[in-house]
Amino acid sequence: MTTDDTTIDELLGAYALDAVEPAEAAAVEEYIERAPSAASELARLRNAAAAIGATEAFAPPPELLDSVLSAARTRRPAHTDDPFLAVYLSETARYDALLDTVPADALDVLTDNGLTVHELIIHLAAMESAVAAAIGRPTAPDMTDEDIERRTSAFVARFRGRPLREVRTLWRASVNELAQWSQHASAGKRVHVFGLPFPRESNLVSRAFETWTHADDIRRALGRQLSPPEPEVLHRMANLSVTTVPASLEMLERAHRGKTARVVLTGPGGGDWLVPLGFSETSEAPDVVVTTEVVGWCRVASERLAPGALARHVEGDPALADDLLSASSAFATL
Amino acid sequence: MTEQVRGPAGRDVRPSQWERVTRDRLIAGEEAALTEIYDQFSSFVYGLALRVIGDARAAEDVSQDVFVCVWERPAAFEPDRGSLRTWLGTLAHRRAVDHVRREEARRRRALKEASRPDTTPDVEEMAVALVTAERVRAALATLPDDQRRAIQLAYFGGKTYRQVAEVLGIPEGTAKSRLRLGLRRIADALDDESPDAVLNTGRGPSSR
Repeated sequence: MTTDDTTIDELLGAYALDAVEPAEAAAVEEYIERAPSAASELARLRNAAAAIGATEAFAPPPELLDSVLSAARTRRPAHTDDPFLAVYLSETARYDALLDTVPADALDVLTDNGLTVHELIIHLAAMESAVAAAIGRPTAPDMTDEDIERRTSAFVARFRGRPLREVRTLWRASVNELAQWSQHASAGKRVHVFGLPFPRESNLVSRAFETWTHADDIRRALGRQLSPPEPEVLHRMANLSVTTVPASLEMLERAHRGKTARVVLTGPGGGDWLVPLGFSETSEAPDVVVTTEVVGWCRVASERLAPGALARHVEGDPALADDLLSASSAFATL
Repeated sequence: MTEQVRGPAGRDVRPSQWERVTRDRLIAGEEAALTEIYDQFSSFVYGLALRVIGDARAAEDVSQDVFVCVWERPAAFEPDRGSLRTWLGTLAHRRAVDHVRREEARRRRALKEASRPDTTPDVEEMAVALVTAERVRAALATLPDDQRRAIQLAYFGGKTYRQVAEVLGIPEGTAKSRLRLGLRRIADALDDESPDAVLNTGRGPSSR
């Protein structure tokens, strides 16, 4: 332990009681990230502080609960029984929590897609606000460009030098608009986003998919462990990427009409699909069977893993399997 | 005292199943989970804020802010790092102290303009403040007076360790070590007995 660290270490008790200056608090927070024994002691001291606090328990006025609940609803919509909305709420909550843990000096770190962490966060806000505009609830009314790259550039120009919370506030407002709209929109209602008509349900899953993908981009840039979604969420994402394969193959002009693939995705959230390889009937006797792990499949679908790098087992025509994999990404995320 | 088994991030007690499930329900947007947390911890959060700030209206604002924060970012609660109560206590205390310090700065400016002398808080009054949780009350009572006073000035009085040193007329280094030693003793006292009774909730039994 260096002299500086000793000085910081002596502050642990005061820090646990919030009895330090902001600069000292920052030093302690930096210190405990790299000193597990200090983190361990701090956890004990904080626990003791809370126990002291609990000696003062006093019931708040009864009307406070209503006020808390109505304030909470304006910040984040409550769950409905709709599984598609649940997928979107789950991934946006995880992403938001991740951003809470991104240190200020990590914002300039480059991610794999060439944007810095800060720019990537801005990019996602640009996308979410484009969706909000598409459902008639614009959150950035003066930013009208729908082209993904130009829109991102315009948002980066506006938000790059600004505190992170500004773009996060815009992102959160956009998420809330889509969630509220989705609560009331009828099943299958189309949303025209980035030139494509998405049914309400696919739009929610697609937005969740992109949110997860960029969250993992940030984790990768910061050297953290990647974090796949919960199995139910992952299953909806996998389902979206499998069921859009026929349209993707048609768009890529690589359709094999009349052929059918069976896709078996293993692991929690996986599943088993029969999918025609173009705009044609599904055959009960597949021409190719591709078995692979569901998280890897989703990473190919979100273009974070090259199709060739995905470990899979193929029975039948390998060329069909290659086209199937290359088509998985076309609509899943934008 | 026995050595406790600790998790990687230093948590003494394994996260309760209830905490994990509640966190998942919050993430899924289940409003009933927020109501349950509120039922369990609102007296703790509000009582702490009220004790620090001394103003009911401001304590309500702080409490609301804490529970809305829980709702908005439930994944920020990491069960492996500490109990839900500790997390809520940290959120509430920070906000309460920020409020007090903002008010103090405002008052200092006002006092300066009126050129009146600054006042110091009544240390004795804080030291005898009633504490209600049995074990912690007992543990606080066994602390040496100087440690207890330092902790109460810092935690309930919203003072920094420098201000604690000034009020008590002791060197800053002494204030720092009193705060830490005193807190350690409370932590040890909590370790010595079954932790769940006192650690998991602000009041009453936690099963629900």
